[in-house]
Amino acid sequence: MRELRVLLYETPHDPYMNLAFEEAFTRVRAADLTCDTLRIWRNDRAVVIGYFQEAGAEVKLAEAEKLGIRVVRRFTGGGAVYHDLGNINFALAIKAEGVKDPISYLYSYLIGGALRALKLLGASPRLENVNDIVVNQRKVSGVAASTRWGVYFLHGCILVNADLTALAKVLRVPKEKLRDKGVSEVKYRVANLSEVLGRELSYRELVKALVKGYEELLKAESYVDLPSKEEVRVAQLLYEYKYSRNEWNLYRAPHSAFKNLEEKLKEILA
Amino acid sequence: MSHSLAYEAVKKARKGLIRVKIVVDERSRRIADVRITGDFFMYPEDALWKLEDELRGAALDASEVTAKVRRALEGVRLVGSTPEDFTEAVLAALRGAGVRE
Repeated sequence: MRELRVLLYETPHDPYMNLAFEEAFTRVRAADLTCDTLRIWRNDRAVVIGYFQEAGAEVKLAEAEKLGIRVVRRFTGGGAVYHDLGNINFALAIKAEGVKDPISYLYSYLIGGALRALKLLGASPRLENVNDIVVNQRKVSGVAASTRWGVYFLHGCILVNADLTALAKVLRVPKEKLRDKGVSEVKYRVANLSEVLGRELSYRELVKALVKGYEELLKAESYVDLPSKEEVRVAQLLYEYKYSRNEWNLYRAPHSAFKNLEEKLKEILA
Repeated sequence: MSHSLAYEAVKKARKGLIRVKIVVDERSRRIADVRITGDFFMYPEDALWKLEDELRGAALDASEVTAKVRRALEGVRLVGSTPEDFTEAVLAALRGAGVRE
């Protein structure tokens, strides 16, 4: 039976390291130094923006600073999301043979593990507008994906009992989007899963559901693991030279702008 | 004295917003700099920077700009948006500089 490695490694107090590790475990998987991995993790009070986004256009930066909410960029496209401990993130780095359409593999197939997880928790989730997971007409989760480095990568966040007031305070909602969705404020489009289901949900419950959801989808047996020494080393380098830097987080520099880092990574990943 | 002026536009695609900021060199009537940002999905991702490179130095001419956007996005997989959305966003920004289609 196929194996699925599960990592619960997280650094909620340091969102820069959390995102550095996201790239690290993906690239280490891509280099075949680990096997297919599902990572489940949390950030404490951060805004995570997409690879193509302008930080100041998406986030009220002064307000975020005042509230101690840090802004960090991820390596996938898509929109800005607010994270706190009431938000659970999942990420997969998978290799697969014979995939005809990588985009549909990611956004139609691989997203299915999260949908199964939500069903296991008693919800009736629907996939809308490519990457939104909606329960009872409210968006509780969004995903983003990449095929960079030769691996199928998908990650997403599930609002479980996040502080939606803080979310509304720091995220800018472009008027062009409001017109489209016919709503007045960001907090009315998204909702916490606990509110939608009308009951408290624990971190443990979410972890169990996500692991089971992906075991079922991938027909795999899971085991919980610790980060490998390569993942730790790669994450440290990515943290030091990219994810802790304004050039990456605020100024939208592409991966290719970090040449020294790539040279150092080559020594580990080659 | 600077002869550059900046223009902006936002285009809503089916999925995602495309924001364009363009700096125009008024003397040469060419694009001096361009920055395209937003919450769209593009594969391979770094095609976005190639698109910006392609547009730098382009003449303020709608058909030249359209051809350059098309060329840069050839073979690029967009999810929830189209190359036309990107063309429209760039041309919308350039309308401020007097470019007409």
